[in-house]
Amino acid sequence: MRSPELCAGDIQAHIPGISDVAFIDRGGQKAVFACAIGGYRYALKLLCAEVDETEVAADATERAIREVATLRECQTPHLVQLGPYELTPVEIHGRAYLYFTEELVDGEDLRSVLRTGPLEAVAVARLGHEVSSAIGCLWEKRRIHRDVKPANIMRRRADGSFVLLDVGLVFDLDETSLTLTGYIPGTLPYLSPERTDLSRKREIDFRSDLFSLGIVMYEALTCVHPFRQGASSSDEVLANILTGVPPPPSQVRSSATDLLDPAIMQLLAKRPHLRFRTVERFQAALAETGLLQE
Amino acid sequence: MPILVQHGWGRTNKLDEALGADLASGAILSPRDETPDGMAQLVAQLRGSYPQATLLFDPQFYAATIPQARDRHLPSYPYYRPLLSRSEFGLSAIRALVPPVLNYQANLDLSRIIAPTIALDDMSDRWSQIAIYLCQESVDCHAALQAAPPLLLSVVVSENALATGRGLDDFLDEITALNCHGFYIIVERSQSYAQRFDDRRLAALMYMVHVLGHVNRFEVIVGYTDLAGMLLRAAGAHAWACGWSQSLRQFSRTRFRPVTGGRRARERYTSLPLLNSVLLSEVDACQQAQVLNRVLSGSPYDQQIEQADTPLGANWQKEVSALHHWWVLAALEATASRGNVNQRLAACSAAISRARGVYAMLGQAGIRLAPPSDSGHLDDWRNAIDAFTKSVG
Repeated sequence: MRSPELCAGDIQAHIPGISDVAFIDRGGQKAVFACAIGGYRYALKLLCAEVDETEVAADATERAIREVATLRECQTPHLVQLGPYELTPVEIHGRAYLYFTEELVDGEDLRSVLRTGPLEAVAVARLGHEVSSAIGCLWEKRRIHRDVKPANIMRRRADGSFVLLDVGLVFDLDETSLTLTGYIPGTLPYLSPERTDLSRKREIDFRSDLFSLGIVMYEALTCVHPFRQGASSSDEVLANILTGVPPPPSQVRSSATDLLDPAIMQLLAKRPHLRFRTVERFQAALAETGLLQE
Repeated sequence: MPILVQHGWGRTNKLDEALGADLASGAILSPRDETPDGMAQLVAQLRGSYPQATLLFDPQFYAATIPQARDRHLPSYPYYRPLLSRSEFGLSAIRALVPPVLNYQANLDLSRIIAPTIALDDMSDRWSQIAIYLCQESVDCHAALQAAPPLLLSVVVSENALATGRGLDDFLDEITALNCHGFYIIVERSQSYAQRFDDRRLAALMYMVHVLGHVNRFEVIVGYTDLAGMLLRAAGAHAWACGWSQSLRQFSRTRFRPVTGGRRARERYTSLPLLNSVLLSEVDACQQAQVLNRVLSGSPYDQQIEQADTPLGANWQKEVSALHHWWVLAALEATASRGNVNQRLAACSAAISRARGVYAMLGQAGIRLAPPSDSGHLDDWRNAIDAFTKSVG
């Protein structure tokens, strides 16, 4: 199934109560538009609702249902918030679609931010604290994000805080798996070692997201991916994730503080039992660095 | 001082003496060896006499799977059900088994509540999953208890299960995700009483303790450690426990199995310089070779030996021997508890090196100590430290 190929005009013409629609992005299964509802800006996500020749459309619908449920249940300023429209059917040009709205974060995604250089240590500590809050909030509902990466983290323009986006790959340990057999959802350079073992899918917990956050923090501090160094193929990146031990961030970028080295390196431990056993313990380790500001 | 008395058969006044002499900070109580009424009285008496003591109650649920277990008073406890087979550990059964164990302890004036478990011979088999279910159910059940002491989940594992390390990482991944205060760990030894401990197994145990106690900051109490507890303390254990007899210093399920004969253990002397316990006859040989002072521990109880004509003729009674043993543990505790993990292990290594030197000196004096009094354990411990250090980087 492909994401809908509709234009902003199609959306504005068929979905009531919205205005100022603008195309943002098109992913594998969803198209994303910006729009205004009641004077506020939101992101509108649209996906095909028809079950066509594949099972993927049904899968995408199930994912969207789960995404909306997750957004509804997990309330933290560091996880994108659900907008006024929950999952709603609409027919456009004779085809059935589903859409929902969520907060449109005014800011820049971390991938773009890092193109201009690394973050200061204080900002990296804040990034770790805030994104881990989102991970912890998801885990309170027995959910795992599974796609923590710079492109899914926004820095708000207004106050510099960080928001975790795109819970479309969230895994609910208490629900049926939506992933096709043999397919590992997520983004390879940010996978935790245990995520590569499909037989352990139900044993995975929030510590997998913490591993991905460790990669993000490492990158944010150094502009270097800890497992891409020296790798020329995705297989080598995967091998590095499974067995490679990167140098501490402060050894990669001499101007980076070493205060964050212990916490980041613990996040990057190969086994979950060697990471932090709660989000709060990770945040306490960040607080001990003295880098977290009130 | 994080040394606990491992309570068992033949208590007399040993518990009181150990706590009264400040050689231990508390006790792990054994229901097998006290009636329920006697246990309630014992807890009340200890709590009254030693308000700050750490008092734990090992529910010894692991004995329930041993056929014809020599479980003494255990069947008179309301939570205990003997002769449980694997088929009786379904999820709904576990939900019924756990609450009585926790509720019983909640009604005693204990410092912690210890969850029920079963003994594991393999950390990746069906029994290990049952053990994890028991842990999970205990966490849920404990959360519903009002004002209960903190929960320690228990892990009872044979040292054979630690031999290959198979399943250990997966097991640790699972139990570190559980929301509890800490863990009570017992390792079943596969040989008769000796300080020797297969280095790979000991290193794996050190790793387990380190991951739980140091990396994940759980409170870790290791039971039946004997002298090797020094290494576990250095690796991250918060407390270690040891009893007054050989069967209470190292754990074996044979203690719960029908008696098949055996003889009374000969009296031994715990030598701090040797990091071992040796027969009184061997201490005698040291006196004859005029190297007695090199093997004596320096405890106040040594005078019983020093003032006797010969060590063999000393009035080295069980009670004195037990108090002396705890005194040695306290000295090892001082060695193994200062500084960070690396510094603690370095201190342990130094103690091992010194002990090697004493053994070498004894050899030069013509004294050949036979197993288990020989120095074999020092190699085991040294290799275990190396393997452990390598495993944690």
